[in-house]
This record gives sequence, structure tokens and C-alpha cells, in this order.
Amino acid sequence: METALPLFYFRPTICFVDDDPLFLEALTLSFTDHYNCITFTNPEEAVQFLTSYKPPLAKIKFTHDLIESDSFGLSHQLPLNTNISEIAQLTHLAQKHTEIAALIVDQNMPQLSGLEVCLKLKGTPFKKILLTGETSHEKAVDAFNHGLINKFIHKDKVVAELKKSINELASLYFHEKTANLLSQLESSRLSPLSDPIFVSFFKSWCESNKIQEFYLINKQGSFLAKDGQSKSHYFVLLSEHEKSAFLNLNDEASDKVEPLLNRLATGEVIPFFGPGKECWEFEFNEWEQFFYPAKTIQGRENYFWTVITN
Amino acid sequence: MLETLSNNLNLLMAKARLSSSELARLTGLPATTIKRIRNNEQSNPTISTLLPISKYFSISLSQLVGDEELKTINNSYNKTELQRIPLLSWQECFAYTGAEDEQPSAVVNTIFTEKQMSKKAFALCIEDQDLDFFPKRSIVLIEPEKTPESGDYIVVAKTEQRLASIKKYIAEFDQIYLKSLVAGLGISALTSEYKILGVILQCKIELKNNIP
Repeated sequence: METALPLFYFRPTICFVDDDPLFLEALTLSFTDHYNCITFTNPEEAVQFLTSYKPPLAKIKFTHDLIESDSFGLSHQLPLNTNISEIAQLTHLAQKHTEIAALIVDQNMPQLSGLEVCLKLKGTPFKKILLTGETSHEKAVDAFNHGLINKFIHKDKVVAELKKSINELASLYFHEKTANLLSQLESSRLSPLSDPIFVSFFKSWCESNKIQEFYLINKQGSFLAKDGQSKSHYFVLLSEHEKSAFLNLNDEASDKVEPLLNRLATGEVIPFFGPGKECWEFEFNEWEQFFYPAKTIQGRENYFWTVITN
Repeated sequence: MLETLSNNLNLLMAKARLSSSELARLTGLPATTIKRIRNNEQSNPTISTLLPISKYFSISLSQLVGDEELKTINNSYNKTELQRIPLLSWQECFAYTGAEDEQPSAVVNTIFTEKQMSKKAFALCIEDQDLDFFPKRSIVLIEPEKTPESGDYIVVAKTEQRLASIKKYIAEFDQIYLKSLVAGLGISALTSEYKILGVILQCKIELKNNIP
């Protein structure tokens, strides 16, 4: 089962703790493509660093009080406002790649055991993976059941399992960061971001286009995506419902842009006026340049999508 | 009331031949909000939404939401506000200038009128029996700021006598004549010895006095 898409994702930092420097070096080698890695051979140093660490995202808020709302003064209502276009501002956030999404810690270390490290870091937001041997299996199960760790992997299977686990947990980390925004987004209607068919489609699109970071830019489910060469793409999505709403909004303009609207009605093209831009900000005679050939995905409803590369 | 708002907006936009997208561009409001008001789906539009719309169409908020009639748009003629005009004697009116100390509060008798008149305006009571169609005891309202045209009834006085009377103003072949309303008195040319005090705009005729 796919979890819902996070509203944004960028390359995070993974923290590895193991007393064997050779093992650490070998381990991190296979992750530097997709993650920033920091390593500690001394678990006490790791604990000291991680307890004083401040995640860059902790300072960022996307919801604001809607002071002008009539219900602002009511004690039982939360009038909140979310500006989705602020999410893409994260591209400019310095230090964002130092956000730690996961900690991978070996159980068997002389100074502190992996579980002791996790216990000292209880309540920290990053995900924790414990690497276990034969003797520590039961303790790991117990720690997992108590929510102290998110995963345990037997050291023999590290190569095969760790990569998949880190990918999943990093994605989960961003999902949890944005879960409240997604529930706001879905207050009136389900979003494609929680449609398993769209989620797996988008993930595989990201994979095949080597997308390293993405940011939601509108309610419809369009993203600003950046690949390994920092090249920007707009992944534009329009659901069947939003398509009808667009046609309905512009039903009086049929004499001026009728051919375009007819092509939109069949799903042949979809509009994208730019991030944060609305159709009514442009004269009808300018519209043609903002309509792009689209493809269709069949999920909970039909989704029409296109990719625009700057 | 909300239904009236959507009706009014639809009417205004149809008259101006505007679509929701175009009005959105002109007012800076979201077209979706405008569409929702027009379809009567917006349950409680805010002032910040309604104000740009009323400003664009040059109407008041009350007119937009239907508290005030929409057809009185830009038509101050229909605004019936009564104005107080001082009732002067035929001797007083020669020197009357409408200055502050002579305004209605200082004058004992005033006449109400629905006409838009200047501050210099005044009223006179007809005292003569035989003045053409102005019956005795009728009240005439005089506007000094108006330039007389041929056929107008004016109040005029000889500078020497300082006594005002009503004359008909006739312009013919570049010459201006004053026709007396008293039968038997003829026409005289307008000369510099006359001072025109104003044009009669209205005559209120008292047919019967209701005071016993």
C-alpha cells in the first residue's frame, strides 16, 4: 500500500553510527547519490550532536492565522490560511539538505548500544533504523513494539534491505511533515496526492526522470520538480473535476477561445498559466501559449498531465 | 438579499458585456469568487470582495446587494431633498445677496422646495390681483444664478426705484424686451436702468387656505 505523496521532498541527510569505520565507509558509499551522509564512530558524540541539532524545517510554517476571518475570535474555530505557493520557496532555503530524515545505528558498540542511543534520542523527529546481530533480535522486536525504533535490519541483510528501508522512511518523514497540509487540502475533496494510482505513477515518473526534489505548486496536484542537474520541470496535473470547473468558469468566453476549450474538453490539452498564476490574469488572445498537449492517467478519476521543462 | 446580489451582478455584467474572467482581471478578484456570486453559491461574500465590484460599476454597496434600487444609479435628479428658500418682500429682494447673515435662519419666513436651487435663491409672494397667470397669494421661486432665456418670467427692478416686479423676458432680433404682466402696460426695451434679480423657476399656487 502506497502512502500519500508528501507535499514536498528534497534530498535529506542520513546519519550513520557504527564503531567500525570501514563498515561505515562501505555503507555510506551506496547512499551518497541520493542522500547527504554524516557518520559517527563514537555513539556518545552522535547523541551529543543529535540532541542539540535543530531541523531547518522546524522554523518553516505554511499555515497562517486568518485574522480577517469573522470566526477568528471564536474559541472553537481555527480560521487558517495556507498559501501553497510558499512551499516552492523551500528551493531557496539554505541548509535544507541538512534536514536529518533517518538515523541508522548499530546495536553492538562498546561505549553505548544502538538501543541506548535511540532511548536517549526518544522524541526526535527523524526515523530510526537499528542494525542487529543474532543476540539482539528480541530486544529489537521489543524496541520496535514500543515505538523506540521504526525498523530493525539484520546486519547480514543490510545491503539488500537498507536502501529500500531508507527510501521508504525518508519518504515517510516528509509525508509526516506535510500530513496536516494534505488534510487541509482534502477538506472539501480528495486530492490526487492520496490516490494510490497517482502516487505510484508520480513516484515512477520521478525515478525515471532522476527527480531529486519536488514541491507542490497548486491544489490540483501540480509540482515543481528538480532533477539531478538542478533542471526545473513543471509536472502539471488537472483532474476531471478541475477540468469541468475550468470549462464552467469560462463558459461565457466560448466565442473567444472556443477551439481551445473544445480541445480541453476532450483532454487533448490542459492549461498551465504559470506557478501562482490564474487564467483570468491573462487576456483571451494570450491563452493559446498556455495550453499544452496532455496524457491521461485513470485513477479515482481521470487525471490529465503534462510536463513543461524550462 | 443574496439572490438580489447575484441578479444585480449578472445584470451589471451583461450590460457591460463582461465575462467573469474579464471582471476578475479588471477588479483583481478571483474569477471563481465572481462566478460563485453570480451562481448564488457564495453564502457570505465579504466587503473586501464586494467593494471592488461596486467601485468598478460606480455604485454603492447598498445598490450592489439590493438594499437600494439599482436603477437610480448616477441619477441625482431623483434624490428628493427639500431645500429651504427665504420668503422675502418685494422691497427686500433688491438688496438680497444670499450672504451668511441673510440665510434662512435669520429670515423669519421660508419656503420648502424640492428643486435644486443656489444659495442666492429666494421666494416672493404675489400681492397683485391681476398678474397674468400668477394668482394672488401664490409663491414664486426665483433663481438669481440662472441666465434668462426668451419666454422666461423674470423678476426685475429699476435701479432708481429699487422696487421689483415680474416681467416676461423676450429676446428678438438681438434686442431684449421686457413685457409687463399688467394688462394695458406695454413692452419696454431692457436698458441699463434695469437690474435683473432672477428667473422664476416655480410658482406655488395656494388654491385654498387650510388654516381656519
